[in-house]
Amino acid sequence: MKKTKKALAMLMAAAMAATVFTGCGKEEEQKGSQESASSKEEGDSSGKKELSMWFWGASDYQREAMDKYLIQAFNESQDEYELTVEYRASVDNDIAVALSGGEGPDIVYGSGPAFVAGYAAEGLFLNLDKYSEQYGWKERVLDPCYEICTIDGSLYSIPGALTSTGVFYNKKVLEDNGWEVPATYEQLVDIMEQAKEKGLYAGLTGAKDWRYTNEMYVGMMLTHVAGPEVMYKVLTGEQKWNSPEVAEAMNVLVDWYKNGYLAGDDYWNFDFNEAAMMLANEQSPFFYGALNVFQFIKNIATEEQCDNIGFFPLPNYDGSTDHRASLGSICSFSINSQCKNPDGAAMVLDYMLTSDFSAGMSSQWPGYWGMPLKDLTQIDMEQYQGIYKEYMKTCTDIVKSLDEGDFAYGAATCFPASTYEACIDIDTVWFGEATVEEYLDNMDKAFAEDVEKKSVATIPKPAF
Amino acid sequence: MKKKDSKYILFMLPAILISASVVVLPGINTIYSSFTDWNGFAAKKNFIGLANYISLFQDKYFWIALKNNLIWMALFLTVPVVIGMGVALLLLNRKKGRNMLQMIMLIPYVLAPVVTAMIWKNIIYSPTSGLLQFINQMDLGFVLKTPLTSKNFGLIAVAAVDIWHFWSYLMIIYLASLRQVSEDQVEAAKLDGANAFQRFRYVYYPNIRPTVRLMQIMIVIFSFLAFDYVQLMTQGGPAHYTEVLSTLAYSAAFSERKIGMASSISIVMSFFGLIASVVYMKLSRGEERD
Repeated sequence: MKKTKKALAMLMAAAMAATVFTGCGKEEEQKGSQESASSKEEGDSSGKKELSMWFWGASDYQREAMDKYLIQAFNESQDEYELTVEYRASVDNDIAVALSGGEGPDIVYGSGPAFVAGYAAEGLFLNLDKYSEQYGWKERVLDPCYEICTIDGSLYSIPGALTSTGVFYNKKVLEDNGWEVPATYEQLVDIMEQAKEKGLYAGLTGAKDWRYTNEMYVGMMLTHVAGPEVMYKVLTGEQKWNSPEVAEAMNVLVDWYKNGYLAGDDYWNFDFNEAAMMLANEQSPFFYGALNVFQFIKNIATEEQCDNIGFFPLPNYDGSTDHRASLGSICSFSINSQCKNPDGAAMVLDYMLTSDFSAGMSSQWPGYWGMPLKDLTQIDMEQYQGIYKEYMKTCTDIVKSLDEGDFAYGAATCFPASTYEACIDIDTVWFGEATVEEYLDNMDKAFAEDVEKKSVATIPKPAF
Repeated sequence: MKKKDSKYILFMLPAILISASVVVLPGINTIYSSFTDWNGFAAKKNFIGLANYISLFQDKYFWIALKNNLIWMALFLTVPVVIGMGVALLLLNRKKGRNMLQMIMLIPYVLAPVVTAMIWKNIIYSPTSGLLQFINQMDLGFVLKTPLTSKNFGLIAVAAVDIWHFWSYLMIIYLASLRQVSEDQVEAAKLDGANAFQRFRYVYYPNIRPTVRLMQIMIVIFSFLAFDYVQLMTQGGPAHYTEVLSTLAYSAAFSERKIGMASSISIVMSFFGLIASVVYMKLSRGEERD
């Protein structure tokens, strides 16, 4: 008996030690909730009505930017409402669980318009048409970005920042090797082959901690190889996924993976921070990723290294030289149908749909807050330097492309849930476990399920 | 029922109510959801009969996941058991420093899974910044790649991390059980000339058999619930090489919002746990009769 007691004591000691190891996280959590609680109390004491929003676990400088340009700026802009933001590492799952229980924050951060469709269909998000009309959002937001947030013609979310997958490049690497910024697809591939010969990575990226990275490259190839017309037809059910044009795009992607253009064998060994560091350290001319890569570069590189980074869209496979973008929104914001102060929540959304907010956030946090506004091009670029300027310049280029209808579709924003999940399985083709045809048949099956569930977002028509 | 007995029912009532609310009702809800197309937030659950199960059994990734769970179970029924038992036997007759050694060996068990996963992923398995890179830099004529992306070794590589974390727990349990074996029996065996293996085979093992069996059943149940290390290290990929039933259920629930489908996967997972429990009960009853 004594011996059993001793063993139990050992296990108890182990459990106590475990709490030591996990203590830091808990302390932070408690701190977070205390901050949140204190904010609420302040809100109460000042007589303001509370508005809550959950956001992912941003880093310190990102929280500073949120505090300054969103929370403080909004709270000081009026006397009626008090906005508090709670940072949660597992925000996506937390929101899903909370909404299913009829709870959740007033302003619902979502992973994009495709995420909204299912919830809106169940009446969990407010119809925003009234507020859109009141504030003139339709006139301010880029048409395709507005349209993709609608369901049956009604608005259920506002789009977050613009995003489009393309090519980040290191200016110094290109210059040192006598390479020009590639203007055509052939030039891009030629540089990547030369880079490999020189012992550099042809291109960088990484899916170490996030297998869903695969979707970026599916979306990128569908945009620049299959093209806008084909993808519009596919996403509106006029054309099958398993069609020659889509298959060609996926075959190009398979070749890219096999040729090592996506970091070679290290695709699964790098995360975006590591890949960004390698680009900054001149170990490759290119990095393939969406605009949020700007924030990874800022996280990891010195100011001097940041100044070397530029961005251009992937040149079109058919040789056309238009500046095509993939329609993407880094996130979306909706109003919870349980929100007690929907007018206040709409004021926050309206505040976010201003170029002042976008300009302020982007001056401190590049890569995440270039809002899809028609007047974004009017922002004074001279206020920015280095990577901040490059990011805002990239955003204004994308605004022009979207405004001209020169776009196809980003997977995370435009693909419905089951189709999106199926598109991740491109790695089964890379590893020889499935053929492109089998992969696309699976996409057709998943898309049919989404259509049946009515979870396909409104697909804006590009100019073709 | 006698009046005297009904009083005891009242004492049991809180426990019964708590069990019903946190175990039985969610269990029934999960079983029912598995026959619906519920997406997790719709007010209505449409009954679709066996459609989720039919779709599941037709999904090739379900069979890959099930096979991987069985491999996981086979690995855990052998490797940590052998290591845990071996180390427990080595520590059994060591008086000095035994407690200290147990504490040291228990460290992997008390580390949070996320810490363990990050250590292995970034320091051991990474060919760009970890042990593999160090070996590759020695230029031994071969280049080591991360095992996490290997079709044949990906799952084993993830299981190895969980085994590293788990074996010391078994060791502690086995050691506690071994220390309860009567010294008299061991001494008698020694006097009869039994060697170390014979003492284990004929004295220690029969005495600790119920503990070993209980642990085996627990391992079987845990094997079908394996989730954290797979999710943290590979998310079931690449190409579903490391997919297990729980990661499949997680994707269905949180990525595709198919709670009905996720429930049916959970029921399949529970089914294997149930089989293990029934086997254990039968064996225990058999032992009691013996």
